[in-house]
Amino acid sequence: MYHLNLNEKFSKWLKSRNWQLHNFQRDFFQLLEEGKHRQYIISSDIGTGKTVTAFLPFFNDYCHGNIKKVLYISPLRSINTSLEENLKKIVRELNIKCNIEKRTSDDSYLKKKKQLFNIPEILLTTPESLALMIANPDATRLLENLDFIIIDEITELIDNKRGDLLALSLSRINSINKKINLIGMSATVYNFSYLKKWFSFNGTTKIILNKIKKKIDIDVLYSNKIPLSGHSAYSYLELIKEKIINKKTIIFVNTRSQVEILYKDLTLSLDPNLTIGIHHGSLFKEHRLRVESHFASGKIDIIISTSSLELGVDWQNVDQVIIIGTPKNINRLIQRTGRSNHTHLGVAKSYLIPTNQFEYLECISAKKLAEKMEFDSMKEKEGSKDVLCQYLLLLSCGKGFLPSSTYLEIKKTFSYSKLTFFEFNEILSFIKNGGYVLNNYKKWNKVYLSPSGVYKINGLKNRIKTLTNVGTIIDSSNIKIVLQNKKCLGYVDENFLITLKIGDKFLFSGFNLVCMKISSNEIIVKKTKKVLNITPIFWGGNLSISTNLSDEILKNINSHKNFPEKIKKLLSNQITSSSLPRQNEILIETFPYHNGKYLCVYTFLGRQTNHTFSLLLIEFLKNKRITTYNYTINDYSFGIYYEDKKIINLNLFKEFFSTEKLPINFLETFIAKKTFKEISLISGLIDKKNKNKQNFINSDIIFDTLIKYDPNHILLKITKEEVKKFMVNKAKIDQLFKKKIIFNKLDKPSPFSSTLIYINPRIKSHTIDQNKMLEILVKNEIN
Amino acid sequence: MKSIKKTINGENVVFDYSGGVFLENLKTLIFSDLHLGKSLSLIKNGNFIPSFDIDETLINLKKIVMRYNPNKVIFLGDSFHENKSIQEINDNYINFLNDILKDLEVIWIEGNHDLNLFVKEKITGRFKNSYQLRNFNFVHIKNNHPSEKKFEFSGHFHPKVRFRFNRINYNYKCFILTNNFCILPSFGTYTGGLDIRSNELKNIIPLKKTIFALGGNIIKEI
Repeated sequence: MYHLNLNEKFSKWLKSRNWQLHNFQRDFFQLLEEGKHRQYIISSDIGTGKTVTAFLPFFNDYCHGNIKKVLYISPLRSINTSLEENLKKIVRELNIKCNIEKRTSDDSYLKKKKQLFNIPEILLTTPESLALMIANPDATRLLENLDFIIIDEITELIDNKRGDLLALSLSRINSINKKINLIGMSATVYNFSYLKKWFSFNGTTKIILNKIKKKIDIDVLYSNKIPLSGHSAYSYLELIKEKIINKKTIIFVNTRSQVEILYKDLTLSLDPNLTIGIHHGSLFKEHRLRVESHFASGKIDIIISTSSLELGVDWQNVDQVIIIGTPKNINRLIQRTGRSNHTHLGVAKSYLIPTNQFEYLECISAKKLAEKMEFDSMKEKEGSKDVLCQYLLLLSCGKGFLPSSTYLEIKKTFSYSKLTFFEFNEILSFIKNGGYVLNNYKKWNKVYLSPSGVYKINGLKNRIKTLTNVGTIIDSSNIKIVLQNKKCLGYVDENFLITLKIGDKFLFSGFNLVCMKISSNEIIVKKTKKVLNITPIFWGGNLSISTNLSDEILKNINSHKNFPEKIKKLLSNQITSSSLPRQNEILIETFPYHNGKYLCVYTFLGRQTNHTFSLLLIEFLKNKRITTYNYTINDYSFGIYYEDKKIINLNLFKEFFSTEKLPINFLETFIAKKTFKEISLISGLIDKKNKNKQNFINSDIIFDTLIKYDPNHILLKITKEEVKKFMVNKAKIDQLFKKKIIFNKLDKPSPFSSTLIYINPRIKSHTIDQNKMLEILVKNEIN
Repeated sequence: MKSIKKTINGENVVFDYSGGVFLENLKTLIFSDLHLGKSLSLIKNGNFIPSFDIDETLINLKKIVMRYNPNKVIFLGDSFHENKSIQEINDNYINFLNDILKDLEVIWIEGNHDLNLFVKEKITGRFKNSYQLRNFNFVHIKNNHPSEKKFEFSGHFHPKVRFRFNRINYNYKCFILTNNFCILPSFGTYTGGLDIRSNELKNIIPLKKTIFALGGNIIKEI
């Protein structure tokens, strides 16, 4: 083994902590010293001290008196808080001079301003705050003087729009800072080639692998009271209480309202010595920070959280993790499990709690895959152009941008390497003045060409707008919940405001609240002791299950000998009322429901496949003059609700399977409108935070007028591209058409269909026109 | 159905699927809440949304005027989104609007959005606070104490009706018709709406009412 140039003070400190450098950490020291590469990726299992590894060489350098400037980027703000403490502790122990500061949306303006002139050695930030630094001319000096950028949990970013914005920001830094080195940290790597391509901004990337595997132990809990459907952990309360005694626990749930409900249920009858905290994205930041620090210091024993605490929070004293509801994909399950015993040798422990009978099957399958470490695969993602619109606007807020050189800079990122100059110009004209045909309103252009040839933002108003719209996460939670003394408890969705009346009682932030007053952007509440009928607040995003997991479930339902009684009964009921699909089969059911009929198709191929498949089928049915009202999709199946009088039989399906499929017009589908809304918000067409109700415009209406008057507009092109990305390719669908059809005509819903038709959100069918729908609705109302 | 005919105060009143109302014997067309120039007020503030709402609203207006061939047109207010809107809308559109209304008697009731309009003189017609015709009263916002003899037409609220069907919400613009007043839906393209069950509307609508919902090309009584 090679000799490392470790500082004496640093070696002593390692010893005092009882730490020995692992092989991958030594490799990293060595490679940095050699300096042959400009990008490194450290890949190691969760809970093996990756994040600290990335900093060790710099602490060694600091001991040598060799000061490096480091910028650290993590996808979650909460990581930065716990990391800041951990790093500061190391600095104190080493007794070196090294400033560590945070720069996120939680930090004050003054603090951020100071950082630009008194640059800390280590700055911890998020991709969005980095993008804002690109837009700030005063931050240029800081970015120019960086030596290293560390990007944590990189796999969380590179398959989505946040990653696109980060790639663009990094390309900018690479062109203004010639000495910069990038270090990426990835927990579970399943697709090195994509990761490598994405990360190689400047020559190839060197991968450093930790070969030691973290041990995990997952148990699926079962309760006799497990219901057929629903997502509540109510039937497990006793079991949960048993498990959390004397154990420091993180309880993960899938939605924010589940956090609130479980908190209420647990605190009602718990040992008063146990303290519980709650954590989710809607809560006010001070509350979140307080809960985090209390949990770290031991003042709180149990924390109930959504995925907001999933990544990187480095609390080494967590004994176990309880996961309520399936984590939907294997990476998330491993990620969450890895939050416990967060040390190199500790065995991570988690309990999976299925909330309904079907979820039991999901949990068993997820456990099997996680133990085999069969990670979900990651799809290569081309950069989204709405993010590019936002990025160019951000650049115009800074020193401005020169189109030709900026185009070349952008092309250097893997995500946007295919961007043509024509497309770039279309985007440029969009951010200038909307880029519409017959544009008559040039006097209000958003950016202007300055005499020096660079594009700059026009006026303070546009500048503020651009900066406040930064980011690609669309969260409609912008209605404040405040107590009468003006204390803010957090934020809720606008949809909640619509359904709320004065006097309504609901749960939030762990309190029973009663609504006192409603204004356009605030709900004023009072705490109440009475526990009355509770309005659930928000459903949050529905997580999508991964394909390999649904496939595993299909395998498991056919070998159900060891399952508990209730689960066996679910499966046998399914067999008696319909049938269980085998792996080479596709099960189709039809049955009457209210004033219409349902068609349910069980593919077990994941949500995206189901969505594409259902759209093809709806298009086919339209041609057969069968009106479809709406449809619903989950990870295993989809259901189409259609008019009562028409008959769908096996022959019709055989025809559908054997004939050439009609192409889907991407812009006609309902998801196109949803996609367009997101694009309008990211590209700056409409504001994320709209204060003024008078000036609110439904993006659907904009979408409709654009299709009518300017069908070739850039935003429609982007929408088409994004919808296409969402659809699965033909090969995957064709594979489905080779399966054997099992067609069952039923009198009532089968057990399998119940999760689909009773719980899932519906999607409007695009093939029914407004007039016909209105007639049906009026008829329905009269009935 | 393209339109619904009712008799109010002895007058045949036609409710059109477009959101307009036609008084048959008086040969008078009524519209409300066009909000012309709404897109421009957003554009000015840095949201470059397409301004095709002006095209769409005016084309719809022209179609209806041609179909009913009225002598008189009454706009119930908020015809323009801002008091600067006439100034800011491109002259081609203003000319187009004047052309649609040429040779007609035009009454513009002033709403909360278009009080103190700049360059009113560019637009054909008279501007008024409220207007009376036979047994009918025309205002922007419904009076709290309406006169007993006169039937009142108003706008302002942009009423919409919401249906729930198989767990999905469907929204349609609608007319609200009662014994002594009628609230018109908004005619403008980019205008939003207020559910008839919302607090603001619930307080002013009596239990006994008729709702006409507007589909794309039809009107339906509920």
